[in-house]
Amino acid sequence: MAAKQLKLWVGWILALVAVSIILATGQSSKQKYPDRIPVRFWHRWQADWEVQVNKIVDAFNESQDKYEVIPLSTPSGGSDAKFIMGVIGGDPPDVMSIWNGAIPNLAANNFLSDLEMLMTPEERKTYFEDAFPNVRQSGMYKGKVYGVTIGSDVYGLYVNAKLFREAGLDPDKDFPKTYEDLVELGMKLTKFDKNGNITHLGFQAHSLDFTSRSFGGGFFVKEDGSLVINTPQNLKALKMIVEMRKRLGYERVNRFQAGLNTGAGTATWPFMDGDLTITFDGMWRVEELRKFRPDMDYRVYPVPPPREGGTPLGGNVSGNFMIIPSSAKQKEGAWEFVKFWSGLENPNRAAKFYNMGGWLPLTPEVVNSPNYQAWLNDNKQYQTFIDILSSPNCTPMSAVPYLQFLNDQVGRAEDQAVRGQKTPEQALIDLEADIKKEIAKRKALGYED
Amino acid sequence: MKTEGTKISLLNKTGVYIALTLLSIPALLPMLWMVSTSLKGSEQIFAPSSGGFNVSMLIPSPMVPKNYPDALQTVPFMVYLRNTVFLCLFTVIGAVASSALVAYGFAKTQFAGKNILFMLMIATMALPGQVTMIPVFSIFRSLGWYGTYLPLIVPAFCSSAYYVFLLTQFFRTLPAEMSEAAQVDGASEWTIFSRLVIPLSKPALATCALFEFIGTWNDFLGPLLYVNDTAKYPLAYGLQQFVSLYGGQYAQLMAAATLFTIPIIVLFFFAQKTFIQGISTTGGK
Amino acid sequence: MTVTGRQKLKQNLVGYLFISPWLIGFLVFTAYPFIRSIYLSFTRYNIVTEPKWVGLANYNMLLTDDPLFWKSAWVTIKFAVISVPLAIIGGVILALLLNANVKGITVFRTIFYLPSIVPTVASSVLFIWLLNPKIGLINQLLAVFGITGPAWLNDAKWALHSLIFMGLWGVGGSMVIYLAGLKDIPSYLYEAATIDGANAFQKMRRITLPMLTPVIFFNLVMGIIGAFQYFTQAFVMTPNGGPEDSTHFYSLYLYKRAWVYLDMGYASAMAWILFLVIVLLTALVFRTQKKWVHYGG
Repeated sequence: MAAKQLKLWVGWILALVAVSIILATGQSSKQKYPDRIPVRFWHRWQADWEVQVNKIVDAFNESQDKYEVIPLSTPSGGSDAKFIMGVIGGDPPDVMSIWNGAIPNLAANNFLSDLEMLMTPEERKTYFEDAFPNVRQSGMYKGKVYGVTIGSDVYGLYVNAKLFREAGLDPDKDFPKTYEDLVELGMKLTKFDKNGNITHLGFQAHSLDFTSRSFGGGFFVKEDGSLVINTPQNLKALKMIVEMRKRLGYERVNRFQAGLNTGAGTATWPFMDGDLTITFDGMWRVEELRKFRPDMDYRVYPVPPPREGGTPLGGNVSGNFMIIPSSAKQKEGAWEFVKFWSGLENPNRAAKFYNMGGWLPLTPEVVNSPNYQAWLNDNKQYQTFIDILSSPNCTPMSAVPYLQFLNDQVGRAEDQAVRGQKTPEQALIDLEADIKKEIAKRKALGYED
Repeated sequence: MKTEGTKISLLNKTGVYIALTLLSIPALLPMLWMVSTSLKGSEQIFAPSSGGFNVSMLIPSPMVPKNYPDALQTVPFMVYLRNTVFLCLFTVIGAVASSALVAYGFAKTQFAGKNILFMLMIATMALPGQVTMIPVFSIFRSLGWYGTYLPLIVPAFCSSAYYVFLLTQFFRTLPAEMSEAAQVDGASEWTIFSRLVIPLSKPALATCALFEFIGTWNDFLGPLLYVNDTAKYPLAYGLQQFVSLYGGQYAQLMAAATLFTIPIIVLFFFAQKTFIQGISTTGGK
Repeated sequence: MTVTGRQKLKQNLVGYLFISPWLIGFLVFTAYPFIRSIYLSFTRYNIVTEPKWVGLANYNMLLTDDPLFWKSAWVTIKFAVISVPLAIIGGVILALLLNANVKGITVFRTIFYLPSIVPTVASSVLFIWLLNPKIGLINQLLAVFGITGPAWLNDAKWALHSLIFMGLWGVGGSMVIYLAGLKDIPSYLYEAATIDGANAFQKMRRITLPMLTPVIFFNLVMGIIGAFQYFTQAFVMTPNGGPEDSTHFYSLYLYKRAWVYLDMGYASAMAWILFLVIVLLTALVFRTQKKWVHYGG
């Protein structure tokens, strides 16, 4: 019995050793160009987006013979921790693309390289003179450049031209000039069934953080630390959102929306299906429409200002920015890649990269390049987004380390007001108090700002 | 003397069948839905939602089996599979063997400070990993293990509190007379452990092995944090590659998820034999 | 049998040898992170710069000046109070059904285990659809009976319940443990009871359930620990804490503080408050053990 068991054990151990040797000898991934300096690039794109990113990486690797960029997709849910641990583990990526809202906090905590240090005097001149000022600022913290965009986002109003005409309106002439008119039109175009359920939504006001910018408002922390939160402009915007939602019926909109974009296995966009006449959304939808609904007739307009005291072409810019960790090993190669992709080096070549995802570029030079103009010619409605981006009323988010907290809380305040949990006035008072509390907390803990 | 479950009358049998069949429907839904979506074309997936449920939603038309080869081409499936199998092999063996030893120590031996240590072990599960992640990481880094599989494998050999607790509960239910009799015969604790307790606890050990296997199979965060080489990532990471905010490759995601799940289903189906082998079949009584 | 000093030493040695894998693992991998996180909870710590001692400031702010702390704690307690007993009852009933000696039972066992192995990325999409207020299957079924179902995940009154309901889907995981427990009940106990003329109900009450208590105890303790740390599904389904923060779980808030706001000192303080609550509850449950948990040995 004992001998038999011993034999069994020995057999198992031998088998295990054999299997592990076979498995462990799997080779690691080799460099395609072994004699080049590797530049490690981490990003957060997956699926078809990752395919596009790999194309850009290939283009870079073929464009020169000194560096090889090695991309790694770090899926959401793990990418924050992976990046932070890479930095403290002394093995960070050389370059990484992140959402710019994370830049101030990372910069304040010394995670990021000052990119100006990597620029030649000419590059610095080009960057500061050419880049869209709001985009450039979105990558800055306390006067230093920490991120360079490879694709910015702004929002606008998509209009279904066919439905507009069916309502007896001309999509090229009759789009409302004021926010009040937009709300009225939205109400008029909304259809209900006999039970009062919404069957078609004309327009719905939402996204306070964005909409408020067309009201001359917005949620900011000024350089001197004072807060721009509970202002008459923001209150006016919030009231407009809340009142329209009330007229539509809070619960009814909820049900209508829930019934749309998350149907059985659809990850589609209700605007594509004609369930909405006017909707507020990001510029990347243009590229999606081109892919999935090439025949759709639509227009894009900026959010109209209110009758009094608003700002035309108002908006909020954010986006994907390239950063180089402070402890990166291959900063020069990383910077070469950033220049390549962002178009700082060759705007016409970079135009193609921006067009792959329908992303907004770093500089007007990219926009004016032949490649970008050719793409714009095929996607005429995209011009509105470039107009918004070029406008001084399209502003970046506040560069404070607690920016993500601020954004989260603005979203919560809007939600509370829309649900009727709080009056718009109270929601803004509480929001300001919450932000002040967070700032006081940070002060008490000894943070600088 | 062999019992396979409780013996029941014909009437009860019918009742059991009805109950099980009814409950099966919700249990099957996620799987059915996953498989059916994996066979759909993007026209069907992206078709305008008309609202209302009907069975035709679950039936792919036309069938697009091509999603499977497409999914297999998107990621280096075989490389990831090999890495996953490698990791699973070590973590399962390590976790089950070490946890069984520790559980026997807590359940059947006497030593000073036993209860305090046991409670300490339970307590280690009560602190959220989110705040210990960085110190744990710095330990592995100072050991020079960052970038290797060691942070994923070695801790498994140090037992897991969860399995130790589970096995302790099982070992404690074993009749005390049995080990006492063996002790009188002069058997050492090791002999009692390896000859008596282990054979009698196969269902519990199989449960631990199954859980550890699935845990390692599904874990993408651990490998993501500790390994930097794309060729060394496991299947779970490959699956994450299909998750995109704007679902262009929705069917492929589901095809990949199906391929990802099938091995576990097969494993579970066959591993059940071990669960069924209760104490009565081992000839102890 | 008298135990001499030498024998006692040997007993201790054998015991410690058996638990040595855990002991080594604890000393090497667990002890330092534990102590470190206690220390960090008294500091301001952004992960990269050195932690700076702030005394009780984090705890003080949490307990006196952070409404979301209390809100999220309350959400988590509600969740635990409902979901832990539900999961135990559901798991035991399912295991009893699946322990029946009928044909095809292996297929049923596999079916009921399926929801625990379908990857979250696939199942979460399904649940969002199932719980859809308008076209979701559940509200469609309710409509057949003339009931207008709620907006589930989008309704402050129902969002938490939706997640609890979702949790029941995963009951197959604990079912496996109960099943293993049932298989471990010696058959002679039932044979003896049959000779004594006990009916099925009596057997259940006097043999099956008491013999299953060690496993139920295990699932109770692990259920409490798991419920208080509930995170993944909430993060996938309602990453921003749901309507009116109704699914803003404690661990969700903790995660945001730690990894999004890079406020690791504050998060560590949150983690230690959670730790103390769980340990206290677990200790209480362990105390009741003598009264109801039956160990055959």
